[in-house]
Parts: sequence; C-alpha cells; structure tokens
Amino acid sequence: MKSKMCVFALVLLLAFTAMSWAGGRGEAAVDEKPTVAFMSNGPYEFWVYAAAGVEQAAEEFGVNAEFFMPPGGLPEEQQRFIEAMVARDVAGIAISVTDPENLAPFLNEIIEMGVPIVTHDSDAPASNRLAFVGMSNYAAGRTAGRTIREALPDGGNFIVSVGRLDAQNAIERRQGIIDELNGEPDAFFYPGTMTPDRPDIALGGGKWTLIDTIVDAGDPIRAKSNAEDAILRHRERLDLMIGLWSYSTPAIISAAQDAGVMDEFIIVAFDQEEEVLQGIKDGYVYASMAQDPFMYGYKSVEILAKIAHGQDPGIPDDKFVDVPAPVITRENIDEVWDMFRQQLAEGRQFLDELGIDQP
Amino acid sequence: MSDQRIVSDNASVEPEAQAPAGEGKDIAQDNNGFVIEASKISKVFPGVQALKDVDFALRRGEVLAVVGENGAGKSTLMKILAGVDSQSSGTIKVNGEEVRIGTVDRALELGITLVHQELNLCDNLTIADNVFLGREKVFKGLGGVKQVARLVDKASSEAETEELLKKVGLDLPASTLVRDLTIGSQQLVEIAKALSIHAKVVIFDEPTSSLSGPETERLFAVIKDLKDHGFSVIYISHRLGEVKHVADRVVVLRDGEVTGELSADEITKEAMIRLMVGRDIEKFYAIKHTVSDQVRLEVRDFIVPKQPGKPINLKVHAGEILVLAGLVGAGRTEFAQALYGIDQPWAGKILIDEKEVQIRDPIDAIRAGMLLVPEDRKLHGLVTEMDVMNNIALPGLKDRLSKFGIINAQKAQGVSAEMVTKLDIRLHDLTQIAQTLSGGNQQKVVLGKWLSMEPRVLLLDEPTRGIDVVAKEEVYKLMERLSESGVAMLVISSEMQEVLSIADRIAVMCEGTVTGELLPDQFSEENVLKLATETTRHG
Amino acid sequence: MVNMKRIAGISILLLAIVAITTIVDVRFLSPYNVRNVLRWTGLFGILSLGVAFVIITGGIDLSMGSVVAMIGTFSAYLMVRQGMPVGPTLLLMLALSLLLGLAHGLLITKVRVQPFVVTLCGLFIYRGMARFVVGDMTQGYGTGFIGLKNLVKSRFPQSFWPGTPPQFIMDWSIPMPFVILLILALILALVLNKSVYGRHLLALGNNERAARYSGIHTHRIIIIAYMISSGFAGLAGLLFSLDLNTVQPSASGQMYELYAIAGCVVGGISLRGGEGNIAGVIIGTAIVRVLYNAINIAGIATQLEFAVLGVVILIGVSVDEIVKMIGEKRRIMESADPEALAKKASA
Repeated sequence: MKSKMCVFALVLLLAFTAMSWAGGRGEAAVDEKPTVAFMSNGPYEFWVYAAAGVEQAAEEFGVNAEFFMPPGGLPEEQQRFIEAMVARDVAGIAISVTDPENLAPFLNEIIEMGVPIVTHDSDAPASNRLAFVGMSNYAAGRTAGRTIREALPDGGNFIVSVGRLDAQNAIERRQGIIDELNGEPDAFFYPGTMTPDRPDIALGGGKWTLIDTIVDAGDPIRAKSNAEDAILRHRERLDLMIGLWSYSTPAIISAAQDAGVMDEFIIVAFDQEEEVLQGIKDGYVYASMAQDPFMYGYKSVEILAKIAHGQDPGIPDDKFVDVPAPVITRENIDEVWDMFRQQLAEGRQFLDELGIDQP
Repeated sequence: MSDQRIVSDNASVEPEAQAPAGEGKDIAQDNNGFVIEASKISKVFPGVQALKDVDFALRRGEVLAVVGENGAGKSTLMKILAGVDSQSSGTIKVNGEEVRIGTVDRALELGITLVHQELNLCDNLTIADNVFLGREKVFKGLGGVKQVARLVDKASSEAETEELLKKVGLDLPASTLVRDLTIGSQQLVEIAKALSIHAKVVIFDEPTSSLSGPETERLFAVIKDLKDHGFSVIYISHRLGEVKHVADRVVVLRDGEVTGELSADEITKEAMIRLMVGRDIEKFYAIKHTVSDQVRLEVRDFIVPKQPGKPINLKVHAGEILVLAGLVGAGRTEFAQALYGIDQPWAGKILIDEKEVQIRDPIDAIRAGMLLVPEDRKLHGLVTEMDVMNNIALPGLKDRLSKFGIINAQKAQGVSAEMVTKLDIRLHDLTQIAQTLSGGNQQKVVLGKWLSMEPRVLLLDEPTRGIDVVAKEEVYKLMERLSESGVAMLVISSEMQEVLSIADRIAVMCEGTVTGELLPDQFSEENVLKLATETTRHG
Repeated sequence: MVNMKRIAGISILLLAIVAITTIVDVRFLSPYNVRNVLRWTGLFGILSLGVAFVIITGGIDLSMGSVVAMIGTFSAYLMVRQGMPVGPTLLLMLALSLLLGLAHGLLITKVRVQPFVVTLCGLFIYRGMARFVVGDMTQGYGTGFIGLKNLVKSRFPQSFWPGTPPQFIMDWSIPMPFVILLILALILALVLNKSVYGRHLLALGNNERAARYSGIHTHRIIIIAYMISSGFAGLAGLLFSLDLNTVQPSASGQMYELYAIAGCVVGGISLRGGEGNIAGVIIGTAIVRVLYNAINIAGIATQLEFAVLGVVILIGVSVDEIVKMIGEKRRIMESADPEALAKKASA
C-alpha cells in the first residue's frame, strides 16, 4: 500500500517514468527472440489473469513479452508506451484501447510503420488493426438466454438489472437474452435493433415474460433498493433475476438475503465477482457468464508471435477472434475457481519477474 | 429608573471569561480614576492614515463624547478599543496597566464593550440568545456531565435577559425572535447585551440614529444610571444637541487627529462644530442653484409598497435639489426604489415633464429619463470586478451603444472617456478595475454611469456616504452642473449638515410618508428632527 | 414558530405521498416495504444530518459521496484483504474521515478557499484514492464479519428479543440504520438547539460579523461543522458497504452528496445559512426516499424518477417561499396606514 501511495504521488511523472523504464529494460534484453508488447487499459486485477495468459503464450510461441498497465488508464500513457516500444523495434503490440476514437489515427500511423497491432478487450474499430481479440457481448447475452431457457424450461417471468441501458454492452447483453428466448436464428453480432424498455415484454410467444429492466445509473446501492422494490411488487410471479453488470448480481443477492426470499427465485449473473462465485458454490446463484482475461492475453500474444515468426496467425475474415464467455455453474465452479486462483498466482509471479507493481 | 444596580450580581459569565474583570477595582484606585489611557494611537490603512497620534483618557464614572465628521476616525478608534481592530502604533492602558487588546474576547475580559452603529444581531435567534451570544450561560452541571456537552441554561438566561430588558425599557419576552422586532427595539437589545457584560466601559456608537423620541429619552436615562453606578461611557454621535445633553466632556476628532477637548461648561454646539470642521460652518460647500419653475417630476398619491403610509405628493422642478430627510427606517430608500420600478407602488401616479408614465421596471424608468444612484455602491451601483469603461457603458449597452445585440466598442469607449474627463475621475486608463479606485472615484464612476444616459430626473440615495471631504465637494460640484443643465434631483441624505446645505427644499419622511416640507427659511436641524419623528399613527 | 409550521408542512407532504402510493398499491405499507424505506432513510439520513451542519454555516459539502466510497472501500480492504482487526480499523477510519473534515475546514477558514471548491476537489480526490488504492477491485466482506454486519442487518427490538419474538414484533421491528439515525438525530438536535456550539453555529450562519464581534471563534465552529459532515459521511460509507456486503470504488456513493443536500433543502435548511432543524432534515430525507420507492411501487416508468423527484422538491420549496412571501405581505398590511389601505383597495 505504501509503495502505491508513492506511485500515486508521481502520477504526473508517469509517462516519463514509463519511458525510462522501458528503455532501461531494452538494454538488458540482448536476446535472439522477438519481443511483443501487451497493454491493458488500467491497473486492475482483471489484467493479472491476462498476464498469466501472456506469459504462457510467450513461452509456447517463443517470444519475449513486455507488459504494461497504464496507471492512470489514460490514452496518452498508452501512446507514450507504444512510441517507446516502436523505438525498440518491437515485433507486435496488443492493446486494450482506452479511447477508441482518438487513438485510431495514432494506431494507424504505427501500423503503417510496419508494426502489427491487435486490439483486445476494448476494440478500436476505426483503426486498421489486424484483429480484435474479445468477447461479443451479444453472444454472451445469447448464452445467458440459453441459461434462462435451461433454468426455466416451462417458461416463467424474469427481471433484468443493469446500471444503464444506454451502455453498449448492456444493450447487447439484454438484446441477446431477448433474441435467444424469442428463438431468433443464431447470430454472433448485435443486429443493431434494441427492444425498448417496457413492462411485461412477452418472449418466445408468451412462454417467458421480461417483467421489467431495472436500472440504477451505476449505483450499487440503488441496484439493491430497486431489487427490493421489484421483490415487493412482483414476488408472486417472479421466477428469475439476472444482473448484467458485475455489481448487479451482488446487489440482487443482498436484497434477496435481507428479504429472506433466496429460495423463491433463481439468480443468474454476469462476470466473476467473489460474491457471485461464492453464490454459485453455495447454490444460490444458478450460473454466471464470465469473462476470460487469460485468453485475451494468450490469444493476442499467439497472433503476434506467429506473425513475428512468419507463420499464419489464422485471423478470421471479420478480424474478430472470439473468446467466448465461459459459463460458470455449480458443476464446474470448483474447477473454475481453482483455475482462476492458479492464473492469478501465475500472473502475479510473471509481473513480479518483470518488476511491475501489482493491483 | 430603579435604584437597582444595572448589572445584577448573578449575571455571571462563564468562569474562565470572568476572572480578569474583577481585578481592575484595586488597581484603579491608584490611577487618578482613569479607566482607559490611550497615547499616540495611530492606525494606517492601505493608502489612508485613519488615526494619527491620538491621545485621550477616560475617567471612571464619566460620559465622554467623541465627535467628528464622517471619516474623522471615531469608529476606527472605538474598534481598536473594542478589539475589533488593532492600532498600528501607540499604547493603551486599562486601569493603569499597559495592554494589547487585539481581539473582542480580550476587550470583553478587560470590561470594554461596544454597542455598534450598525446592528450586529442574529435575527434568527431570540433576544436572550443574542444578549448572551458568545458568553452563553451553561448549566452548572450534574456531576460534570452537562458541562462537557455545554448545554445552554435557557431558563436562567431568559430570566436575566428580561431583567435587563426592563432596564432599557423593552417590555417583551426574552424568547422573542429578534427578526420580529422593530429596528428601534433591536437597538435596545444591543444595549441590553452591553449591559449584560461585566463591562466597566460601554461604548455607544451612534446609538440614537434609529431610535424614536421616547426611546432616545429612555437611553439617556440608562446612560445616566450607568454613570451613577461607576461605569464609564464613551458616546459617539453626530447629533450635537444630544451630545450637549448627555456628555461630561467632549473630545473632537478631525481627519484622524484630536483637534480639541471641551469640558462640561464649554460644550456648545458652535464650539464643537468649530473644532470638527476646522472652519466656519458657513464654509460648508455652498451649492449654486439654478431652479426653474418647470415641474420635472411629480408624484401624486403615491403609496410606498414596503412601508405603506399616508399617500405622498411631491413635485421636483428642473434644476432643483429636493432632499429627502428622515431617520433610518423612515422608508426613504423604499420610496426611491418604488419610484424607480424596483417595487410596484400600492397606488399613485408618476409624472415626468407633466406626462404620466407607467413604470413597472427600472428599464421603464430609464427610458422615461429617470435614474437611480443607489445607496450601497458596491452592492447595487458598481460591478466592482469590471473595468471602468464597461461600468460606465453598462446601462447604455442595450439601447444606445449596440446594434443587433453587438456592442459598439468604439462608441462605448467614447462615452466612457467623455465621462471620465467630465467628472475628473482619477485613473490610469479606462481598463482599470473599478474595485481598485478610491471610494470617491468609485462614486464618480457610478454617477458617470448614469450621467452618460442624459437623465431628466436623478434619484440619489446617500450619494456622499463614506467618501472623503474632497470627493464630497466634487460630487456637490457635479450636482451643481446637473442643476444648471436642468436635471431634477431627489437626494436622500442622512447627514444633517449636507441636508441643510445642499437642499433647495427639504421633504422629511417618517413611517413611509412625507410628514412635511421645509423651505430655506425654515431650514434647521430642529425642524427636520421634529418632522422626522412625527408619528402619524399609533397615537 | 416558523420551524413548527415548516415541519407541519413537510409532514403533510410526506403523508400525502404515502397516502397516494398506498391507494395505488396497498403493499406500500407492508412491513417489508416499510422496513426497506426506513433502512434507506436511516442510511441516507446520516449523510443529510452531517451536511446540514455545514449548510447552516452557509457552506456546502460536495465530497460526501466520495467519502462514502473511500471509507467503505478502505474499511473492507483493510479488514478483509489486509486482515486488520475490526476495532483498530474502525478507529482508523473514524480518524481518517474526521481528518478530511479538518482539512476542508482549515482550507476554508485559513486559506479562504470557497467551500464549493474545496469540497468539489475532495469529491475528485477521494474517489481517485478509493479507486487507486484497491486497483478498482470490488471489495467485500464475504460471509464473515457477522457482528459488524449486525450494525445494519439487525432490527430493533426483534434482534434483541429473548427467544422467538411474536409475529407483530418480527414484522414491525425497526431496521438498525434507522435506529442509529434517530440516536444521532437526538444528539445533534441537542447540540443544535441546546448547546453553546449550536447557538454559535446558528449565529454564525445568520450573521458572521455579529458572531465574530461577540467573541465567537468562528473558524473553530466552521471547522467542527465540516468534521461532523465528513465524520458522518465516513460512518455512512461503512454502513452502506456493510449493507450491500460489497463496495465498488468507482460506483458507490455517486451523487449521494446531492441526495443529502436535497434532503436538507426539503427539510427546511436554507442554503443561505443560519436556518434549520434536525426533525426537518429527517422528514426531508424520508420524502426523497419514499418518492423513489413510490415511483417503483406505483409502477411509474423508472426513466421518470429523477424528473418526479425534481418536480416534487421544487414544489415543496416554492410553496415554502410563497408562504413566506404571503406572511411578509400580511405583516406590511398590518402595519400600513388606514389611508394607504383605502387607496390600495380603490386602485
């Protein structure tokens, strides 16, 4: 904690620090192997899992890996790091783009200089990046829809809880659920039309009903209070609640626990908050559509390494390298949890080796 | 008054504040009876020497009046004694011991308290709360518990306050909120507050400026009673008649220096004035009048909305200066504001150049050629953070100095420059920020702002308050010029000297109405005061 | 007197909202819903009480929401991740939040930065600190800390009942946060109305110069007010995090300063300073919470909730001003000359 405070105090000097740090390492690395760089959009624990993937792929495909987490999550920090890497003849860069619109021209310049770039987690569609490694939120929504169908095979009524309905990932996840239950033909990408938020939307010919989509403007406490009000109003007919954002489900759990109605409806989640994993293990959360940061790291480095060695990276025509949302259920929770723990440990060890401060 | 002691013995303050107050008695015995001796007191404000080597002394049990013109340094001297301000140099002895006052707390400890010229009450609190503000009576505690919480002993502070209120002649429950009192009663609360302190010295700063006749009488009785019980009183007033009546000794200040001292038998109005102005009274700026018989402004059956009294009827002629006199709270400012369209009158007509005008908003008044120079120039008259040019150009921007909403900067600059020359406003250039000017120059900017609009009627609310003698004369000269060019002026002034010297006619207000008009041969302080206290209602 | 009228007025407003919502859906008055509303009123009311003291001085505290996030995050982080014992953590957090208030107060009184600016910067700084120290990771208490969680989860008197309480007690026990609010309110009401400090606070808010001339240490009074505000925000932060069992450093507490201020404004704390009473603040907070709840219960489109809240607050405050204006008019009429009254009537 203390060292973090020091870093915090040095925020203004960070770009400079990053550059000199990168330069310093360059001298040490006198090596035949090409170097690829992997960059996150901020200093979050999420990226420690990715670090494990980066390390594993680097080892498997014979490259050195640089890893950078911009401490302020700022586009200019990313830009400086890329410039420093290019100066060191890096063989490829993977980036989770903090500011897609404004960084796109810069990324294009780098690509024109002959440095391959892939984006992961957060894309910059306007750039000429070779590929985007990530999850389709719409596809994850379809998966959630399948989970609901499985949990309520004879139909039922459910409520969606999310922070804001104008956020792209919220729109896509919700629409995926609706389209899946409506039996729309399989699709991977968001078709672009959103079902407006109305009470009691009948789905699958009336088999399922989306009672309401409750929003909280990003405030977890409001999410809980909304869940309580929903329980009061719809308790008799409520069969399932699903939280689309990472805090949504913990809020639902807390409300249900306080009301003592845990066994009255099914809870489905997105992401892998501790609360949710514990809930799956204890049986009061049915399933969660998780993310897979490890694979972001692994796939990104794999593609860049293959290009560096002159091999075919196997990028699909639509440039989209899918990392599907793994569904965590009671059956695989122990396994998944172990895997997460192992990834975390490996990632931390890797970052320690690189001498990077960890979130 | 009763023969009780003014300050009851159980009017105890908190223990820690109380200790030094008692000490004085013994020391005072060996000190020729001087409670306060000040020597060579100077006070320098940026750009102004407010006090210069002032020596004065106050005896036990005397009423010392300090008189002088506005800005002579009376208030500054008193603020130093009361700990609100500190002197730049010089020494003060209290009971023969040299002290550095510096804070209000310290002054109270030394037994010095000031009854302010401007009211200093919290109107959201009760009378008792205000009287004991800063020295609340605290429960004496059950095993010390309550003392930690420092809970106010409401019952005993209210009982004690009511005792004090009786002495100042205010027959009201101590739990009355101050905001429900008249200005006069609020002043009496201030005095009660001073009495509640274990004061040895009570300073009254213009205490009667807003009191009615009977209230003033009551105050004099209180002061006499204080004196008889060994208190010392410093009394500051403009009302020389009053001073003569109440004081044992007079110290006169002019421009921050003591110009003389008068003992009881020497106190006459003329003697005081001679020392105050340093010249004969006739030399007070004699304004040249150019009055025509054309009626510029006529007000018929006008009722002031914020202070509805009997209907007002008035005429002001071209070039005439009609001074509105009266005590604070008589409704003069409210009258001017209603004329100007800030508030809507209950009834009445306004005629400008014999044509009736409808004034619903200041913009109507401005279009009709009637302008108001408000009382507080910082609050209403000037945008203090803006430069001089924009301040002067401001009122004309909409109609005269712009086209299609775009400001004609050249024209604006021309108008401003013309005013600066015309009024002899002293500044570096037109872009100087108004706040950085001296008070007199600021006032000239305010005047310039309105003169650029070429008014026909000018309402001036206390145009010379708080500016120095030289600047005052320039304002008068300006009024003279306005008079020549046929502007009708309605001037509100509370400074008696000014009222008597600049007016062509005086209209005196009381309780929201004009109680009488005086022609030059009737001009006298007594006549003005008589009309100003002529209650038309409530018996 | 003015205060009593005001409290009567907003109580009527509160009752009206309750009555209308109950008519729309009787479940509004079910024990479950009443408990929820009381719990939220308790939690948000603590914030409103704190900021009320600052507003009485004529200041404002915009940093409360971020303090809620920071103290909530740090508490969970220290106790769960760093394994710090409960007692010392709570003491440390109390000290930290008081320190923030002290810093605000010193900057406002000694450096003379405007309260709006000081606390606006606080809003940014504490949010950033909360997010940075834990790397934006959600913090939580997991399944442990049952004793601590009872601060928000238990109910009075149900949780203290020997054996199994009767159904009536089970239904209508009061959630602990509301009990805490009432205790704090009682203390603050005593401080505001009966203590020397409260008297000085009201005097200062009404007429700072008069207070200074009366020998009151105005700086000290202001600093203490900001410490109360931050201290209460810290307490609320701890309780919010315990209630939800998780705390998101980037999301929790956002806009809470505005809810707190809204509660005060509805409750009759004038932003001009010098006015206010504790009962009003609690009723004001309750109105804001009940409105939110009512919108959900009555099935009004949730998209409209801010709009409804804004309109109701505006109506409440405007009615108050209108009543004041009418009072002023009446006072003038009473003091008016009979002749003037006659003229007015004929005009």
